Amino acid sequence: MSEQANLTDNETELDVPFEDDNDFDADDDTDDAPVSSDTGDNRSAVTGPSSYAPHERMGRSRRIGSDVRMRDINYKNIPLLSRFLDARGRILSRRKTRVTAKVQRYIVKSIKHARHLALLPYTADQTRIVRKRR
Amino acid sequence: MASTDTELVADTGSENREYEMVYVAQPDIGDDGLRQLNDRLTQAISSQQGTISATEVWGKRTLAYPIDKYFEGHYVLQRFQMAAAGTEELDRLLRLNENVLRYLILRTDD
Repeated sequence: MSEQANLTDNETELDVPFEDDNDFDADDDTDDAPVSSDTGDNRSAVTGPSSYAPHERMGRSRRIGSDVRMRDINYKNIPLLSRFLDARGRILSRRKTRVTAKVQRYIVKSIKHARHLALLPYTADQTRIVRKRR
Repeated sequence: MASTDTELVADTGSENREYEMVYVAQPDIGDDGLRQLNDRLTQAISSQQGTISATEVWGKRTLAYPIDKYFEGHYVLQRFQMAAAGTEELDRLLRLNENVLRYLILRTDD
């Protein structure tokens, strides 16, 4: 159940990647390592580093880049590229995106091109500054 | 990839290549200024024996972060074929023009 809630939570976050900047922890909760408060009720027996625990959310993380085609990766494709940024505007690691090295390489390059042209922010607070002014 | 020899020849020669250029002009430039700037760039391309295949004006967009205290910019994209040597001149023009906040020239044929 909590898993389900997480899914929807994350999806809204992906759609509007820079909306909730105040809540820095929200991002970390949905990261790769299952947090005890999240899964505590059905897997209280698991101890030790959380990274050793079976990843229930693997399917979810793989989805970020599963439908990416090479020819769609482009510095102009902002909706696609912003899926590979976290709430603070950082590029997600390959461990989180689960895409191939090749795809990740092209995406990172494209994001950097887009950042140069101010199509994407370098950090999320840059966007906040722009929003405040407008 | 198989024909590395011919590729090397093409790299040093004056073969036309596909390019894509995007530049961000400052927001107060106005229609006339934008046209002027665009004319100058198309002139530079054609003087390097290049041909423009497409121009896309994205219009005024909000920048993701402020540049030189501007919050918006006019985005213009151009696709063209030009010899490799011509990019230097184009690069210089864009770099020296104060109305251009950002620009990006990419090769799109490989």
